[in-house]
Amino acid sequence: MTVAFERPSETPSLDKVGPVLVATGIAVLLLAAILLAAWLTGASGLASDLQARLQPPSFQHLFGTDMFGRDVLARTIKGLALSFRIGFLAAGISVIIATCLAIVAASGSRLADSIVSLLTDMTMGLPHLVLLILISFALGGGTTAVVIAVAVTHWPRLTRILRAEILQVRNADYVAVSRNFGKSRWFIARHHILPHLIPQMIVGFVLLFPHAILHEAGLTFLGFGLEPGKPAIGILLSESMRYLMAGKWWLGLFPGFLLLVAVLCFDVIGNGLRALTDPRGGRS
Amino acid sequence: MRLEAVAVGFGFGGGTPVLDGVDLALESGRISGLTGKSGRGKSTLGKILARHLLPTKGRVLIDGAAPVSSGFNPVQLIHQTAIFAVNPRWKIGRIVSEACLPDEALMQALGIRRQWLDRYPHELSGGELQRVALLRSLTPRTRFLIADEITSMLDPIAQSEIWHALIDVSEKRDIGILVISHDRALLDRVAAQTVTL
Repeated sequence: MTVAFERPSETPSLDKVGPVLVATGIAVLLLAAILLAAWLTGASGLASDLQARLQPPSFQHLFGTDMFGRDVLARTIKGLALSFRIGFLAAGISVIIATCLAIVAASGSRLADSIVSLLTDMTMGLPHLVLLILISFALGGGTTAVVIAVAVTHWPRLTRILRAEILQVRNADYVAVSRNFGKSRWFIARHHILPHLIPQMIVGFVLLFPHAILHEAGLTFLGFGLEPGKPAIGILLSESMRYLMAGKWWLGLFPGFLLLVAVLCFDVIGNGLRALTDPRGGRS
Repeated sequence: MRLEAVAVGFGFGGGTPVLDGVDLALESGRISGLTGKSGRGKSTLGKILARHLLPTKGRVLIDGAAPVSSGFNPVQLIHQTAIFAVNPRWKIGRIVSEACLPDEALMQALGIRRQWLDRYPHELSGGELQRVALLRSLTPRTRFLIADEITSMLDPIAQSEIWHALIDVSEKRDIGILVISHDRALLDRVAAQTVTL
């Protein structure tokens, strides 16, 4: 019998970091495009031009034009900018809610822990999209309603992770040692517990961000999100449905593809950050 | 200085007590042994003495008085597995200076190299990390050390080096050490007296 030992790769870390770097590069490009949108696509990009209705992609209009002759590239970038803003706000509020509830749950009070656990289970038990639609509808739609709806439905997973992390670190032997050295609760929270939470919060935020963007687009696509006049990705996709059968594929393909690329990029970055923030993988 | 456990009792979650009415006394500058079968509560008693756990019955006294519940505890506990007793996100240099700046002579006596200070805990071996945990606990204010199976996972050379250093520290700094172990041969070598739980 022959036993063969394979030599481990000498640069395993590069294999892991590669996709994250590519995703970061694309995400930076997208963010730059959003910031430079007016300069890239021209100020008139969003204006109607009925002479140039439903034109396929060309050098003048890279993503083609829509039924009012508006540049689809300009509208897609504007839509992404709006989605990013909503995603950023919703994910940020979700992380704040999750952190506060995790601290309350892990504070030592059994009643508080039970209440937070019940809230978490209830929110996770309800169908996600139904809850989003209900909240957005109840708040009358619009940007604020979408931000609130996404924010108040996306905290449970992160709350569970942060609560478990706090409980684990609080009961760790090195925290007991630190307490025995006479260190204050504030010192322990700041130097032992918080450094374990911050990476989880950052990763949670980066992973929530694409989720929030997708939900915003989904809500808007279904008509419960942003106002129809806004150049949101969901509205662009919704409008494109009427023209797809007529062969106007560019109306849905490009906004949908860019949304997919943005979501994928931030998902890959989030997963990469999660791997990198693990102290055992920190050196590599 | 004298560390005493007076009629100490402890039970987990209201179940059958692990410890019931245990008395133990430890003098500073002396090395005492504590042995007994698994599950008799040796480690639990060690944790109670070092204030990592509070007894459900009885008291722990230092020089006849109850120690203050906050501030530096002169009784320090060394765990069997050092990797769990150090913050994985801290470098060794920060870990050993958590209570105070480490003593250079003690660093040498324990065989701790300067280059370890810039490493993370997972970059040291179990034996190296145990030396780090010892250095951290042996502050000028430490009067008692509860050594819970601290060398049971180490090779004989590392065991010998660590115990020689600890015996020396105990004499020079007047530190009382409670050696918790299943190894009777080790207890016979290092402890002046051994109590069986």
